[in-house]
Amino acid sequence: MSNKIHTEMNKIEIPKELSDRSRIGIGKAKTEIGKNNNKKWLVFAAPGLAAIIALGIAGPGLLSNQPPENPVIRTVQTSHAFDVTDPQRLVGWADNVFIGKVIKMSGTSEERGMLETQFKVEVAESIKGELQGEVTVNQQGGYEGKKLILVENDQLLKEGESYLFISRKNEEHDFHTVVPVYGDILINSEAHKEELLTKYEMAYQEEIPFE
Amino acid sequence: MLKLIKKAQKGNDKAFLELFQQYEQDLYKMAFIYVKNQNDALDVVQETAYKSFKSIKELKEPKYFKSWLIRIAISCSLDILRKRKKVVPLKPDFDEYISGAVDEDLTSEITLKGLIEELREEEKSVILLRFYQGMTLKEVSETLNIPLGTAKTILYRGLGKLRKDLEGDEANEQ
Repeated sequence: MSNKIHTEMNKIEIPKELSDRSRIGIGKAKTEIGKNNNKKWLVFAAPGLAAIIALGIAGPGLLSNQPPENPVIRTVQTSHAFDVTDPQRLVGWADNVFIGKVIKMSGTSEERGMLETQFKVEVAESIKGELQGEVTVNQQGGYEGKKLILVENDQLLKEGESYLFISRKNEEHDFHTVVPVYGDILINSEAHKEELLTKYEMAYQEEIPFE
Repeated sequence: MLKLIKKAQKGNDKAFLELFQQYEQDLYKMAFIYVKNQNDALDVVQETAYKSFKSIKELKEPKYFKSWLIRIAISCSLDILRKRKKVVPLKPDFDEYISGAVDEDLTSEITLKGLIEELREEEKSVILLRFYQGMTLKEVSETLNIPLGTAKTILYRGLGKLRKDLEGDEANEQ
């Protein structure tokens, strides 16, 4: 009986595109799984990078205040659960939006397998939230030996420079993780600062909360 | 195999693809019996790949991976049939075909055409799992989540139909 059924079933021709269709189905699921994970945690997580995981585990010892002159730059791509280029959504998602000056690089940490570099930042002005004084800002990416890991080519914060930061608070460790690229905007003049203040105050007034 | 399943459960799509491709042809053929055409059977395989990878974390017993995939594929096939609005009623009238002791050997001249055209969906499920996948009736009943007695009834009814079909063909030939 089984043999006969097998013989008959084998008469069904297998289309060439069968494997491709399996791939498409799995690929679609992977994309959606990625989105869900991002929603659960920080929305700008860059998953699945073994190199980064290794980096993170290696910890603060790898951080140098004198980074290599010609680091090998590795860029990590991210995925987002919402349109991070939309200031209203970005501000709605954030716990804090503020202007601050980077005092110094203070260490590294590893969050969910992702290397983050930490900076001491003096808060100058708060747009959303009530941060003041000196806070710790975490930026995804950082140095590993001669390698520099950058998330979407988001350059590491520079000491002495002022930025507009858009961040989410890590309650457990009391630091503020910024969104790559769109959450650490370098301020290059007083006029630029005013422009950003106006833009993000308006965005805060009309923020779209992240759900 | 177990290693690949563990990897897949951690979100490794390559590991899952490797696993899935071991079964995709079987799944395709089974789907074809239900949906009766290549395009829909391909859709079933794609949807099965999608649904199974999305829920692989929920698979508690890796040893049941294959029967779990088959269950998803059957469910996807039935979904397509429902969408076509050609699905037969889910509550079958068992009594009509209960014969108690059907001699399975008598139906050894089974045909693909008979499988596709003569059987209801639930009969296809039981017969394919029992004879194509080589499951015991108990495993069939567990996979389809139906009582063992019901699985037996459906099996015998399906075999009875195939035999009738065969007898009909023979009669026509004479």
